[in-house]
Amino acid sequence: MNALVIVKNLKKYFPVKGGVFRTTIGYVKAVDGISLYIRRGECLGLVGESGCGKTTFGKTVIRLLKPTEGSIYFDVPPDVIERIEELEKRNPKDPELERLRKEYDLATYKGSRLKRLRRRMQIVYQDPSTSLNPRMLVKDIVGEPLKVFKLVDGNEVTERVLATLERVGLSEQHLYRYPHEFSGGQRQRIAIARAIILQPEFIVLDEPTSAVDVSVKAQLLKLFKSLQEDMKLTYLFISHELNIVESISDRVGVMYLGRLVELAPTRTLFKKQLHPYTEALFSAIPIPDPDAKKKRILLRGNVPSPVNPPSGCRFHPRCPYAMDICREKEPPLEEVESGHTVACWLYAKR
Amino acid sequence: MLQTAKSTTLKKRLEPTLRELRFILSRLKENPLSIAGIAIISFYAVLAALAPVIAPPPPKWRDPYMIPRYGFIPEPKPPNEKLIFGTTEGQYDLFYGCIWGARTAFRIGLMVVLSVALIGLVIGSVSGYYGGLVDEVLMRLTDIILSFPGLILVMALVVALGPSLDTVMTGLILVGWPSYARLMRGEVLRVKSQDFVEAAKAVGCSDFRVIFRHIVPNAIYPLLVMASLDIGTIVLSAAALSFLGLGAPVGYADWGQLISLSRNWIIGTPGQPLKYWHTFIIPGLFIFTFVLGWNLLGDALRDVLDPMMRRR
Amino acid sequence: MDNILEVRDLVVRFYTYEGIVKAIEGVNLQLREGEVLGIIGETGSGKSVTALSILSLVPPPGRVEKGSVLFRGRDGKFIPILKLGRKELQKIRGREISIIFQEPRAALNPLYTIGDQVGEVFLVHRLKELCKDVLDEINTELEKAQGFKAKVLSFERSLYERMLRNPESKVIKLASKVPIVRRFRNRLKKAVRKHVIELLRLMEMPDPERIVDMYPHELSGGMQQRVVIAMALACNPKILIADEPTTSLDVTVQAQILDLIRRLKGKLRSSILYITHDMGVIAELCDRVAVMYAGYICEVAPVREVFREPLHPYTRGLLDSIPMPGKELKPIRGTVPNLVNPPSGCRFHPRCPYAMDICSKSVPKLREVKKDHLVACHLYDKDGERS
Repeated sequence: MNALVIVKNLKKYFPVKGGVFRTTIGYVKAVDGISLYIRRGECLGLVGESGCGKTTFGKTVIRLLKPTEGSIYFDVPPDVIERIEELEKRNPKDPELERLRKEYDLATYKGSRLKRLRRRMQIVYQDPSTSLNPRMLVKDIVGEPLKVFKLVDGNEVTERVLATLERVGLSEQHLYRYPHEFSGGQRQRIAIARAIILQPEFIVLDEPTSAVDVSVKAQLLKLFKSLQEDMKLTYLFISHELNIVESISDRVGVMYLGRLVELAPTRTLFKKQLHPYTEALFSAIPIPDPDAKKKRILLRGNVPSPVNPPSGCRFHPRCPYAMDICREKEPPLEEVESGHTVACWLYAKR
Repeated sequence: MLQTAKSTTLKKRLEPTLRELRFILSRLKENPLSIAGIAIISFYAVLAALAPVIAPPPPKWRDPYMIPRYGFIPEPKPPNEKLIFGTTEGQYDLFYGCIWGARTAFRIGLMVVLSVALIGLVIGSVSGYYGGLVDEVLMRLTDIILSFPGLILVMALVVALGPSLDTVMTGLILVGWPSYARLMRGEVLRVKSQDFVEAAKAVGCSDFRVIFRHIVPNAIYPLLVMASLDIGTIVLSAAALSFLGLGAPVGYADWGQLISLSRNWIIGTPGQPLKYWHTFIIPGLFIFTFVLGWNLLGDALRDVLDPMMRRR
Repeated sequence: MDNILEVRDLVVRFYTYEGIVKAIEGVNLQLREGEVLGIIGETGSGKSVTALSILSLVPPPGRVEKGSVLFRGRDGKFIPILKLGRKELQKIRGREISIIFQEPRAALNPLYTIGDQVGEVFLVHRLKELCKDVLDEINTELEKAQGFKAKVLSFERSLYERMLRNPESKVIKLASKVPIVRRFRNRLKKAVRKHVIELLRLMEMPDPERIVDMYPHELSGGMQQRVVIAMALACNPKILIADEPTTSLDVTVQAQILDLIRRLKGKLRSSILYITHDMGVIAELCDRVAVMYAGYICEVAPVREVFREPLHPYTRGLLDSIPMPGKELKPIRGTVPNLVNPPSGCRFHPRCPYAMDICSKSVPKLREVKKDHLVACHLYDKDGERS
């Protein structure tokens, strides 16, 4: 398997400070144990509602945040991964395991090793009006990565910037302008140019189409697809817009309250949803077709707080099919059909 | 070929900045008070620049900042044809003192404010960006300084270091930076949480670059407003200290000094309370209008920079 | 069906530093009684400005240059909203025509409880009704009361009768400030509270008695939006304007709110003007839809018509750019025009795949091309056939 990114049991907790002495009184468990892999050249979609932790997950995978627990392996040879898994099963405290982790596990990286990583992994943010420095010219925003890594100098920077801008559909007249002089769609293109100028291998797209107009969404989607083909990119596409995710992703994962509840190839998932939450989520999207008859599943209640997630399966208080076991134990993520994994007691093998 | 390329890129680079400046100027033009402020300050700037022409020092005069005396009688002489503003105690030429005093005022105001702003910027940025222990230590330091009554602390410093204009400036700088640091820290905290700062880190920028290339240019506006309003305050404080005898030496061209010289003559004679009005009203007017000009400019800047921020 | 609202030749311009933004240029719209009319458009289409103009809420530097907004009042006659003074406008806003916005957090004051805020609507617009209720209550109690209690009750009755006659009475205002005397208002507060709880229950909120005393930040986004809708519907307005009310909410919460609006639509007999950029929402909720682009209305038709047979190239482009499985993605090329210097003639012509010479020269008029289907496009100028 040609996995570019392998994530094992990733957790990211944010401490909640309170009380007179501002001690830690709890944790926001934004990401609470997610394991998955992303193949080279694939686009993995990640959907869920606000607060489910998908943005935190994306940022942690590329080490913008330091994981609380878990491992991230980027472009590690499969035999090394096998060895690591073997050692983990046999003896978690094995010194060889420690050594391998220090070398390959991104979660342990710091300082200049982390900086070198930035060349290979990038991110495009959701809101282009806040992700671009309002006091910097477009030329400087897009050219900054080149300067930081001292890859080219002087005039060449401008040339490279121009070439990248043209690749995303902008032109020379946009070089010496401030971000606020552009529309939302154009700003997002500037952000994309900034992300691709170093020719990375992996890009986290954090809701890149959510803050733009309907007609611009389609344009950006086309751009993402062509960039992926030309530059052989691997994407993690985070979004809450299901139809957009469907059109670009190869596989799609569904997150709820910090955990992965279902993951399957796109066509499979959109044809049949197994997990009750996924079912409800998909049924909630308004279909642009007035004649479409849809059974809408309305969930009770609200998303609980990630500081105190419910016991057992986190979805059980709102689940229309909740059973006793759902309250007590958390269901494991298991493969139920070919490539289709789900974490739900309704489908558990045992 | 290369020259023209460089000059066109320079022009292109400056274009957006010029557009911004044009926008600021047009906003300023809308407010008549701001025009008044700019006019006043420009007037004083011209006055200060042309001081050697308007009030030339006597030939072979060593230090142009020392006011020439026309006699040694204590009683001030009223304005006449030769000495336009008259003289103050000890027969110092009031006109000369006021004109060269403009230079002193600019010197004190700009030097002190630039220094405090710079120190406050650096300390505030570092404190706001890193947080944690660094932040705690630096903020407690500012707390300590801010818990003293400002002018009294400056006075103590000046007395300790020996009264002179330089020690006055040093004292004002040492006492003035905490407010700027606090303000800068607040702005840095606000800007720090924005996406583009994280994006800069994602691109690989070092902490230094993130702070000074990304955060500071976006956080600096309130500091600019505070600085322009402060110039007036600093000049006033320096004048107060000079008045108390803790600043410029006697005979130095400093407005506060001039008012200090009028101390004994403010009350005037029993029948004519305002007999020596020129000794304190004229230098007082200079201080008043100078500070007013800067205050108006500071207000105008704040009004302009705010909608500009919102426009973003 | 009668028209309950008519917008005629509305022109709104914004006078900014960068120039005059021609936000809306001659918009004509009719809202029929009892229907849900959707307005769909992207950034800069002018849909929000249209909504604000209806209630004369366009903020400076915006100005309504021309046109009129006519609202059919309770007596059947048309009221020209843009010509009304402040006092008359106050009687319309919140009572005859209500508006809800995108961000519920922005519409709710964080310092007052839900009960206070929803109650305020009742106190401002339905005071007479409340006074009558209170007076009925006092009269029933008076029948049984004696002595001192009776005296107190008749004093309260006189105050409420005065309030009923003249809510602005200075005597009432004074009495509301004097301690002990001002306790007479407690009855009013109780009546308001009862109405508020009933209204919240109508909004399908769980546990309204508890919510009444909570503050906005203690509620989730969906709940907050329900409160805002409650405030808008408190006076049974004839028209409800909803400006992207579910855009900032989660998908599952949006589904709940859309469901609620659909149910209320039947119960309350209000006409709804629903503004959104989501075609799916239009398909689910609306009877007719108006498509706006760069300050003009391109197409107005029943919802089914627009989806089955979109006539205007922009509408077609919009529908084509929605990613659908198995369908090729066809985005509209180009970007939304700058409204300071908009394209001449039809503002869509630079991006239109069917643009002709005339399109850059003259602005197409909104014309009825099929039954109940209006389009503003030169393609349909001749005889309703596509040329």
